Amino acid sequence: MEILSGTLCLLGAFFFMAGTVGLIRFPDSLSRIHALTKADNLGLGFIVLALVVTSQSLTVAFKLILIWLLALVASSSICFFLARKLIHRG
Amino acid sequence: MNLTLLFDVFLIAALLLVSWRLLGASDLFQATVLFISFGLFLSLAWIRLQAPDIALAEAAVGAGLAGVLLLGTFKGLEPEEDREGENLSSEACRLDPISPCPGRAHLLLAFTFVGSMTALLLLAVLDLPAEGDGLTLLVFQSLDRSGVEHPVTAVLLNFRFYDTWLELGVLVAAALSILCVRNRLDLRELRPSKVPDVMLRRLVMGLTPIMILVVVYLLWLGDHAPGGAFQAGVVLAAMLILLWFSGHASITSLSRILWLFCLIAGFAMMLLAAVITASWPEMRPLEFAEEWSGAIILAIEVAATLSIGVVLSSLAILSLGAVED
Repeated sequence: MEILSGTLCLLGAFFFMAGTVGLIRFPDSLSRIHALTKADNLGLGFIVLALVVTSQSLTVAFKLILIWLLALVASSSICFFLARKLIHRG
Repeated sequence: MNLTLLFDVFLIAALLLVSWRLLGASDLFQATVLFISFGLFLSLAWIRLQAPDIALAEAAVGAGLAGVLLLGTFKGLEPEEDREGENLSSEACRLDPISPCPGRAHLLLAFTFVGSMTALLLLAVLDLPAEGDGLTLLVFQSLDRSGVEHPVTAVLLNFRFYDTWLELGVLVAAALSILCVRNRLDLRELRPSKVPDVMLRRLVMGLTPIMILVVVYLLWLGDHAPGGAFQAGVVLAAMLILLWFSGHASITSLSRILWLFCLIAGFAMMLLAAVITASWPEMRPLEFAEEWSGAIILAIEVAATLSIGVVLSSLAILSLGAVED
């Protein structure tokens, strides 16, 4: 269990890292948003999975997954709003 | 090397770096964003200091709400051409475009002030007794007489009731003064500056039940865990602002009397508790009878949550909203 959660954590950290590199390196705002929302959601997902694996009770696991789903909804909608604003302006 | 120590060092470095950048930022928008991230780092620091109550309040008020208010102010300062979205250059947003470098007298004054404040703070910290944890023991000893199980809530709403009461008074005063500044009697007719779209409406409609759930949960949690009226009130405020921003019915559709009622509910409830306890025989003012204190605190917390939510969202709506011509 420990090894599994550690691996999942590392995987999540890798995706966060990829997202951050994208944020810094990508040339324009649209691709930056793409890098942030896609990669970071996946990274958060892996870290939530890692916590679910080590969590003691079912309620805690359920709450963690709920947090991930809320973050998914929030970040994808914000991504949409930002991108639309950029397209209308550009 | 200890991993938590490493994290703490990183956190302190990040706090210092962000505050340095914040002070040095010439662009107001950048400064606002840096201020919000400073608030988030600060709430992490509070968590590391094992004060989750303050961390929650800092994240919600310091980073969230203050950020919204600052962004609203920023929009008000923006020159006209920026509003069309044509010219988003950073120079246009400076407060002092003519003389960007402050004079020496300014700097000297600022350094003297900051230096003396730091010295005073250092003296205050050095003045603290080296060992012992202040009133913690006293609070835990009288916790079972307070009506709640969480020490922070017991202090806020029973032992130091007076402080919380005055804090709510400050909130009401803030709402009234911003009404004066905007030259308005209420919030009606205030609309968001942009026409809300379908996507946002749907999203907020879906999120509202979850936010109500979180408000009630935080309020109830205050009894035995970090949470309570302030945290719940801020979530309520966020919900009201989002509802208003997406074109749903929010506090702007309340009648003036109802809105004022919500505004002062928390303060009035506490005043009522104070009057009743002061006129009750065999009881000192603001002293709750043991068997009633739980119920009294819950009632006050519900009213305070309503007031905090309505006051904070009113502040944001007053600074963001515009009257339709």
